[in-house]
Amino acid sequence: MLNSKIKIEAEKILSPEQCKNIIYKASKFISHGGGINVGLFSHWRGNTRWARNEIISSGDNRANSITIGRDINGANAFVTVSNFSDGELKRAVEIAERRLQLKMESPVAPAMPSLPLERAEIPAVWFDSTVNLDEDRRADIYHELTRSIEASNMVSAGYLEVNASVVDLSDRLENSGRRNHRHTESQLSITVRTPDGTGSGWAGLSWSDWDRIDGHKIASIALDKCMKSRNAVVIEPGRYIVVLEPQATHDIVKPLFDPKIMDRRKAENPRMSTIYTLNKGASKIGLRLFDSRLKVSTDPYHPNASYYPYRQNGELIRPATWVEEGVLKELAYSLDYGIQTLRKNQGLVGSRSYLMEGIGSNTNSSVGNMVSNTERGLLVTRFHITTILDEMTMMTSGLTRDGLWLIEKGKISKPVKNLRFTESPLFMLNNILEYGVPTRVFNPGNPVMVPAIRAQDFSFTATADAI
Amino acid sequence: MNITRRSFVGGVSGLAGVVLLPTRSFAASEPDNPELIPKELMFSVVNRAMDAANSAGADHVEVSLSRSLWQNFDQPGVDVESLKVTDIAIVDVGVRVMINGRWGHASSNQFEGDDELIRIAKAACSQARANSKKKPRHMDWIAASALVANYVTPGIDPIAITQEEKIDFINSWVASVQDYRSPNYTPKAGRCILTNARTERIFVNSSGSKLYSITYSLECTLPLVASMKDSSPMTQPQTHLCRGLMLQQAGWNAIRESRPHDQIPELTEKSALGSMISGAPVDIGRYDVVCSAATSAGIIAQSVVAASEIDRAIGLEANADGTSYLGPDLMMHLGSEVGNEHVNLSVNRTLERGLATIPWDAEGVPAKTFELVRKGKLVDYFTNRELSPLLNEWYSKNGVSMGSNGCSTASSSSDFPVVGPANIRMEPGKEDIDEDELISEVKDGYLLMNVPTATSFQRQDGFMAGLGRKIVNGKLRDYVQLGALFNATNLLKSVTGIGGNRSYSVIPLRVFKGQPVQKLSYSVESVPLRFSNVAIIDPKRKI
Repeated sequence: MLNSKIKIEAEKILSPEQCKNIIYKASKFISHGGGINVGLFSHWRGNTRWARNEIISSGDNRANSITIGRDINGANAFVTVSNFSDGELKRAVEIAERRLQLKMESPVAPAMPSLPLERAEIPAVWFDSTVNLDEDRRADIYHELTRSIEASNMVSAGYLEVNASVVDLSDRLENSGRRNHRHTESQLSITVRTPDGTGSGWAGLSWSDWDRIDGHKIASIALDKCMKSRNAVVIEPGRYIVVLEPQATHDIVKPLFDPKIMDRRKAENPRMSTIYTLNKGASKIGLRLFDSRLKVSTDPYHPNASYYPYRQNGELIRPATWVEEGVLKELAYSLDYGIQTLRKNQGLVGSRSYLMEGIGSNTNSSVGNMVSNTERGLLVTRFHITTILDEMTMMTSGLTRDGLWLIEKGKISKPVKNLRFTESPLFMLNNILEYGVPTRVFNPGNPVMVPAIRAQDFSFTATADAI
Repeated sequence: MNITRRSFVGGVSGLAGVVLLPTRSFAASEPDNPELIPKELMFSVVNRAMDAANSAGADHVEVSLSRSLWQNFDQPGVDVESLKVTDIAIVDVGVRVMINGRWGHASSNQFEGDDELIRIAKAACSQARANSKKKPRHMDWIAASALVANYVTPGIDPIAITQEEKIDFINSWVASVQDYRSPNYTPKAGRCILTNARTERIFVNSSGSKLYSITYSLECTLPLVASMKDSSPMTQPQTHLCRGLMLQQAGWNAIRESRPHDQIPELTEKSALGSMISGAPVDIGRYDVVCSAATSAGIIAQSVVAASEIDRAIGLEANADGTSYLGPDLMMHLGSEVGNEHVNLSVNRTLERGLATIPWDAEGVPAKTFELVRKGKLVDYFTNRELSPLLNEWYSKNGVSMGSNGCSTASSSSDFPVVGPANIRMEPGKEDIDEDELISEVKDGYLLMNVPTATSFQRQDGFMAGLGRKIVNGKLRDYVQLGALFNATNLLKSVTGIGGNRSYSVIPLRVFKGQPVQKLSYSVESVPLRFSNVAIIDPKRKI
């Protein structure tokens, strides 16, 4: 198995030995002083795409590149090339150093202390099952999954992708700084529509390990939703109790936990304001912002949501709890902000991967139970095209998609036409009636686990014609 | 495939001793412009890949090879922070083949030596065989003739310009803004970003086409934000960008010809006045609305243009961005009204500095100028070779020659081509009027300035939210934050006024399409439009 793994790696992505040789070659051309970072990236992707029950295409894509970063007294420059010949690597280094000749040194930015690249254990993020899914097998999967859909006279479209990457980061201290790590990712999503376009269902999942994705279950869910979404009726917009399936929960809350928003430097910057700003210069850390049962965290080592624990610039992503008992516990910050402003000796890097859960009463309800507990409400599969209208409240507008049903007296009574919503995830996360158990959702590249949620007072502002 | 691998932020320095490099050198330096790859060398590479694919049993082969050089200079305005410079140089080759009617695609940016070229070609064939094994099909498409041509973006190669000239351009803007004296306003330069690129590309296919191109692109963001002197700290100044420097296919001469400093007084005043946003909520209701050229471009692009991509219309994007309100029955929609007689859209690949300007498409089909919407009626779709036969009945009935109208597009040589728009031209009104004159005829309405449009996954339900101004008796009044909801067909049927030739703007657009996602770019020649009976909403108001 190990030998086959190395053989596959050598074919599709660069081996550790190849990475080492290329970085060594590049570092030979570095001649001036200052800081250096060299990152080598090797990526393979295999995919198969179909629509109208026919394969449209499948592909094999390989891309390697090296990025040479040079910095001195706060000035920095980066050069990325895909050609690893001596001439091209030498040229790349020369360009980076020439860029530093522009006036870029900052008299107010103190030089960062020299810190070695941090090492951490790497969770299980490489799976042969993913790398081995070749075009023949992908085509077979397509045939298997679409058979029942075609037999039901429905039309399917889908996308299956597997990929493998290696990231090799280095500084001048080759012996202590080098890291070479590999990870895989896979995704499958399927849309099933009626031939006349009056009904649509969707399901999808992404995971490092292809064996964790049950394609038949995804196809079955998409088909079932399509069948049950036919002949949708119009209902009035208004405020409803909603039962959000996990995908819908993620679709609406994800901006709140995006690293660009959960940024402590921005929140505490006197010249900026974000949803996490209390007043100029202070963040809302320590305040209860959400339902008291809510917990949001990130953990590269979670058994069902593990991920590669480094950002592309080499910063280590540590497990962190962002929200606990509804209280904002932390916001992400970079290494330099941590050292210069917070007087800590490390950063707390944010990640697009997160785990959301409810702890306490009414926190392990199933979607079925949530429906049963609803006198009148709406069951939502997912949301689409969310536009953030106001960054201070995260008021967001978007549409429901691929399955929306009216709940009456504890039962799903009829499919309804899609609606436009105008709602803030912050407000919604203060109106939660019940949580489900967190499950993986479709979010390629960043594992996310969220629960289904039943919430009240969710605002739908207009009907939509789109099916 | 462009790979951005930046953000090595912060000093991780491995050396104890640091050598200080000299600070700014104003002396002209040699550009680090790599020479063009000899055309003959590029052709020999693609021909070897073509031979390998033919040997592996392909029925049809397309090979694309490109080298892209991309530079980004990012300077955070007047704040004393470090300039960030990023250079990216990527060479990639893509092979697309058809076997038994099914496509296969493979690409790589590592192909030094024949072994890798042969591997890519075989990998593409292997994909196609796997796809056709259980379900071959007959590809019914019109044979393409060979096209042998070259194209170079007119102008000066931006990669050949020294880094000093690029930085001087940015810094002269920053200095001019700082030096501008106004009795009422305090202007400040924002974060300036200059991006420029050059792409050399070769394309060959089984039909005998041999196409060579060198294209340039430029984009420069020079922002200015101004506040009224003695204004309240609670006012929020509006950032305005210099005009004329938006993303375009152009050489460096476009920068040298631009006169951004001339715009400083006007931008200062607009920015400061824009900070006086009315605190009053917008009066919701139905109104006459004037949309700027940029806003109008967004409406058209997000609705009827996107919906007219034939692959989307027949459902090939259903699992991605969505479907189309102009499908799936194409014959039903051709000839139908998608707007009123003021709406006339045509498609081209000839617009000067247009992002989709090049004499052929990603399949080597010669570029064609064609009508998309004529007097409000849909008369064509964006097509490629594979899907254009779906319109044969329509073309035959209307005396239009059959075949692709040249709208196959790919983000790079590594990407599988999809159907995408070329440059769009909105026909101007017969009267040569501008936005102000459209406004002058509105008794009670709104002007939507650069307000983005989002549409649903079928492209018909539209939503807009952004900054507007109240119009009362033909005059502009307070700024307000507002939104609009629309049905695309109803909106385009309600056009009551259209700007003339002198109100033209060219608006660059980037859209995302496909799985895996590609970024596609095209330009829209747009004029301001006036609509009646538009639903204006308070976008943040809940029910």
